[in-house]
Amino acid sequence: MIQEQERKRIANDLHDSLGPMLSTVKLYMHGIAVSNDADKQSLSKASGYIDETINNLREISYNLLPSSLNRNDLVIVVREYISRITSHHLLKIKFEAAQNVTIQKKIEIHLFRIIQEIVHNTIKHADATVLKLLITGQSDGLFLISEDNGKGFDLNGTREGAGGLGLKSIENRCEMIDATLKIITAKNEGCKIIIKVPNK
Amino acid sequence: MYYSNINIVIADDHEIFLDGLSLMLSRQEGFKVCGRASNGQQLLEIVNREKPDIVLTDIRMPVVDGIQSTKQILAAHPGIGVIALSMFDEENLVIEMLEAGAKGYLLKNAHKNEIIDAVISVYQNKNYYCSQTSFLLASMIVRSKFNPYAHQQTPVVLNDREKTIIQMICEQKTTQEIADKIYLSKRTVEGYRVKILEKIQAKNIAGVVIFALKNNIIKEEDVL
Repeated sequence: MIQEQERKRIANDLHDSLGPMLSTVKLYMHGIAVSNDADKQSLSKASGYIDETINNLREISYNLLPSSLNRNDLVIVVREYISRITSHHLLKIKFEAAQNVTIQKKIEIHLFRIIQEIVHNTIKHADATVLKLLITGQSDGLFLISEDNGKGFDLNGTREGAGGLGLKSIENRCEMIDATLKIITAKNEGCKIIIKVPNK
Repeated sequence: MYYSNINIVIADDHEIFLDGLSLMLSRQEGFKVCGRASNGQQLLEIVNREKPDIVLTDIRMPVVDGIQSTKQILAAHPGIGVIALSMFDEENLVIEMLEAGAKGYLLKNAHKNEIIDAVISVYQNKNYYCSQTSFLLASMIVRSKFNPYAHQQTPVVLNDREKTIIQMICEQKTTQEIADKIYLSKRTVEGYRVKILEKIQAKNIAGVVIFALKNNIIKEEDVL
């Protein structure tokens, strides 16, 4: 949870200092009246770069703190996250959530982070074209299941190696919410992850 | 269009932003910035003294925030049009501003023309949603206590073709794509678009999406 607080602090800092500053610069730029076409073009280019910077800032801040979780169910937030991701990645993500599923508010942030990590790892390492994500409720608990068609990996090797940070983070999150984690993967076999959060 | 003497009070705790905004607005013909506040408490004092037409206010401010001051402003002066100025990831706060009675909201990095557009719309007693509204925010608005159509006397009647076009606008199809799909000329579709926006009093796609969600022309699952 300390990590979440630190993220929140950084997001707020970005928000409070850089954001208004960039908006101000933009306001001033729009106040400049130019008649020369070349100058006009430079001005509009510069303004475009500011928009791009603001968009980057927005992206960074969103990754640090998905504030929309406060007022929306995890399922909606995940749907939106996926539409953001798929708009600039080739990976196809199929997300399904059972209608009847209820998720405790306090574990939502952890499940969201786990999903982010899974998506991130799949894009970065898996060489997959499709990732399926499923959230479903069974009588004995809540399940988050992911499955990709990528190149898989050597689970023990990755765990011990330096590349296992993402994996470690998923394990830590699962521990925090008392969930069990099962990873089924092998070279050229894709990767399947099953996370079960038992009913309390 | 030219408007005479729209009196505006602005509030934000970033002095430099206020400077920029004030300069931009006061250069606009017909606009007058009659006060500027750096927190919600000051805003209330200035509004009580100046009784402006429009208040453009930041949401997160020290002493009294934008949400509280909006409630108090509107309790005393229901005719004032409040527009929230928000940073990008403040969906939750935007909702609270709308529920507090704000008639519109803008991202702080909105284009100058859009800020002017929003001021004029709200001055005319219409709602204004920022053109950069996400589908998520649109659906949050529809689920919120804010009811944009409360003051509308006659219900909007749309025919099937108009509804189809609204659905396609929400799918972010271009006028050309819509024209191809329903075998009409681009000009005809253009005409429909103008008529639809007028009928449902929307200034941009954000307004169309919110209307469509509210009236079940599209479903949340279609866009999210």
